[in-house]
Amino acid sequence: MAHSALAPAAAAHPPATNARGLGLIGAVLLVVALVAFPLVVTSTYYIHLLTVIAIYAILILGLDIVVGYTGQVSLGHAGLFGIGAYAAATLFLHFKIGIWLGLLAGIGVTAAFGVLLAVPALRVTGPYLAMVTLAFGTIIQIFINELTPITNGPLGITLPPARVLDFSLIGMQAPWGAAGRKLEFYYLVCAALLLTILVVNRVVRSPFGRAFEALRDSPIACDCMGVSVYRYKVYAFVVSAALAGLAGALFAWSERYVAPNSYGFELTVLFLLAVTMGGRKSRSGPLIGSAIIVMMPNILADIELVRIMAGLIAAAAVIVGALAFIRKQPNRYAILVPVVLCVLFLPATLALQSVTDFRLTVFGLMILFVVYYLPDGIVGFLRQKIPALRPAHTAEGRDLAAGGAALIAQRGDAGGDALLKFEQVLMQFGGLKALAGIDLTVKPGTIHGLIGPNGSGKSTMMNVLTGIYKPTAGSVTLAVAGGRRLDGRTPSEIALSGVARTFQNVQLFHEMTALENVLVGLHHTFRGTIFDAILGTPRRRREEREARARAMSILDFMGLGALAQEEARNLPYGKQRLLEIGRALALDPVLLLLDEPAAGLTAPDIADLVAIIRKIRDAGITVILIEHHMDVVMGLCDRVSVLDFGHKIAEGGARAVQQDPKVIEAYLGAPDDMGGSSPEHAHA
Amino acid sequence: MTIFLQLVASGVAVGMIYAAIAFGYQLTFATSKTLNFGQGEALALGALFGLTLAPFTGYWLMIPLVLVFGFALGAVVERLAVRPAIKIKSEYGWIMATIALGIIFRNLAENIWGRDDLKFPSPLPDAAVEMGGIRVLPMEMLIVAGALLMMLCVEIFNRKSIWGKAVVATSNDIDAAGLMGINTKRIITLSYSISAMTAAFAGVLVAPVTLTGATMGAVLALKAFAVAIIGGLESGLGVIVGGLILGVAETLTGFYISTGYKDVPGLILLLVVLSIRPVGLFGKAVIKKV
Repeated sequence: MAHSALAPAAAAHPPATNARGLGLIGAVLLVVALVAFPLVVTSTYYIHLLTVIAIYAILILGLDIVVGYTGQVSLGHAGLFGIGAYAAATLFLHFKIGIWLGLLAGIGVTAAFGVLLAVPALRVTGPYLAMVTLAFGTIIQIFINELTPITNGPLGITLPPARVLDFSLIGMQAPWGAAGRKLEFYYLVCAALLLTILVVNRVVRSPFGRAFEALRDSPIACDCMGVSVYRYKVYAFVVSAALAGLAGALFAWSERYVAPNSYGFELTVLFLLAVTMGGRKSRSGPLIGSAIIVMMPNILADIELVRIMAGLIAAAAVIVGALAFIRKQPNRYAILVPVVLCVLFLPATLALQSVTDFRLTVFGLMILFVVYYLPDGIVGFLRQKIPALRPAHTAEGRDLAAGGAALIAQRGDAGGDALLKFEQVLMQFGGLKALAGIDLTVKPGTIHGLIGPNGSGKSTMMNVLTGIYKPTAGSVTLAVAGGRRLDGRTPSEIALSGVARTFQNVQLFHEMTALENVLVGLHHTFRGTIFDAILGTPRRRREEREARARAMSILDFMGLGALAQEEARNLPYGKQRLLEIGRALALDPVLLLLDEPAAGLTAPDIADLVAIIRKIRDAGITVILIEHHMDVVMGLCDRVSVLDFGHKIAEGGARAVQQDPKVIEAYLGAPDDMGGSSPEHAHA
Repeated sequence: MTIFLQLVASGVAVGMIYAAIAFGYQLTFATSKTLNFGQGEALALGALFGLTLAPFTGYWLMIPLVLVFGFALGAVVERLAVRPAIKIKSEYGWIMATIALGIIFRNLAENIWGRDDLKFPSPLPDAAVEMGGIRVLPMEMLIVAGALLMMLCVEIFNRKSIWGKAVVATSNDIDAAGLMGINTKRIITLSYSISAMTAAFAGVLVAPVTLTGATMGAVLALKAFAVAIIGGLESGLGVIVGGLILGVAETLTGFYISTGYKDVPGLILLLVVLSIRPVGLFGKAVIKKV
């Protein structure tokens, strides 16, 4: 491709980081540490403590999928944890069923409750979601308390020691003796933790994980790429719930006692603290966070230890503050507040005889500290300081070869007739008619321009077409599969019928690489289920390989091949616009909507853009182009429609439209002083 | 039938408390699209503070002092938990920070006033008054009148005073209000102050008929969420209707099913309303611009 400005500016691939290698080392260290711990430390107290940390870590790893990846706040995870615990405990209480089926029941029942909660609740976001999940957690607690015949009510359920491996069934003694038997449960929990890490890793690196991140970065673009935001939020929540259930069932057998008030609001907030403090979107973060929340009450119980810790914190705070002032860092006054607070913590602990009563206050202060001074958690902080720890983007450091056609034209079955038909489309916002009964037809294989002054209804029309707005009246029909009505369908359904779009203000998934952005567009090519992702089946690997090659060829077509591993937010503006078009092309559209693609581009960039749009049309993809650069519109469009105040005022070839007096009037106003004298005005 | 009416009558009193707290949620949500997840603690602190003052000042003189206390408390919450989060545009930030402050307040209150529930002396006689066959506690009538009066005062303040008009302007369009010279940050603080003030007032209203303690607000605040959602977080007096619906639903459940389940209908209602009509029964659907 002979693009001048668009040609990759000799940007070499970013140095392949060794993050993946580090991850492997971390995993090996973790396994060794978990296996060796009971051999070194024989105290059952500490083994139990580590068991609880591992169990909480399982839940927190799952919570991270919801909080870290999809960016939703759930205050219902303690409730889910309780359901898992009670699923296992009630099975034993009523049917004397042991730990293994109890774990399965914990996962299954909790996942089912997760669906029950997620299906209505995930229609809302933000504070609403927080309230709904909080209400859910409270209801669960009430039901556990009240359904005495099932749950044994406030008395709780006591369980015997878990029988992990039953050697009596095969008439044998355990080969590792009585002492070893006590560790069976510990090793079971360790195995569950490692398995959880593996599953979460696979899920977040699969198309599912990409969808989770995409819907957090830009829900609207995600929907318009055919990835239903709602559906993937539900997936994320249910996976998370299943892990919470596993953790709950393990917890029941670990504590050997379940009671309704153990799964309340404070536990939920503790989990959220662990996710944020450890560090979101990582595997090590939840482990660190879990260790902190489990050990904190133990540390607080020992006033001497607390004073030593407070001393250390105060010393560290003084050093950080002093360094900031010596180096004259611009934020030195801003960090004064936390420094002073950290220092004041020491005299406070010296004055108190016991901080156990103030446990929740300490815990609340930690949340405030994390929210404002450590928003990315401990792992996020370290990653910021030490580049080697930064996570590898999917496929980073692997060689990427382009493969497959960049453009696959889906011609639809319009033949020579209209590909897209708007009939009497009315869009009303209160009293305002943004579209006042518009008729419009777009012929296949053409570039159809849509122009009009600001506020004339162009973008509204695009939003109606892509399902972001539901039209008040009228119909939109696309000639695929024998004519499909688009109005009333969801954006993701419309996208999957073959309508792709870009946005007036760029809507990329900015924390994802260029390649990953295009891969989200290619989401429709993946047939694998969530189980394929978890098991890493051959189908899943083949699909990933093919999609990756295809994505590279699309990036090459757009002239972005060299920038494939660059995060979208780090691309220059012009490249971002091109990447957005590339992502839309990945949908294999019949119809591509470009909403002001040339806005903010330099002249050479515009020339390249025009060439690319032509190639897209020549490949057989129909294009609707909204643009204010008249030379672009006039040079490209086979046909142009002009909107003004929600009405179509003119349509025809580019030149004819340009001469139309109604169009001139809409753009420049009516010549009042010579009104009537001009012959054109008479028929206007 | 009398039993039914009797239940409705006591439901109304509870419902008005929910309405008053929910009204507080609306105030801050209107100005800043945030709300205080620690509102229940503001209510409990108001009641406990009132309980401490009452022996010295008597019930009636204590009320204005509690209002001042609530007003100051709201400003503290806004400064510590909400303003920094608005600055970094973090939704997660303010939700977690207001929860954290709530937990801190509750814990401090437990350490100051103890963990046991206390009895709040009733300013009115405990004997019920007979009205058309229904027995009503004078305190219940005071709750209804007090809650209505307070909402009325805030409404009048919003409509008539210049500060109130600034609150309304900020609620309608925060950017435009800022461009018109309104200090919107201060208005958000004001809305938090008024919000916490209503909660503290609701605390001293409800305290004589329930038990007073650091945890008294948690469930009330959660159910007030349900009321705010039913009424619509953005619609003025829908909360009164929402509060009445919920209060009556609860007393009926408590009587006909089991007192253990009396918190359930509100929470179920919350789930149902949000899943069917997220803007609330009285809210208007807002279309987001792309």
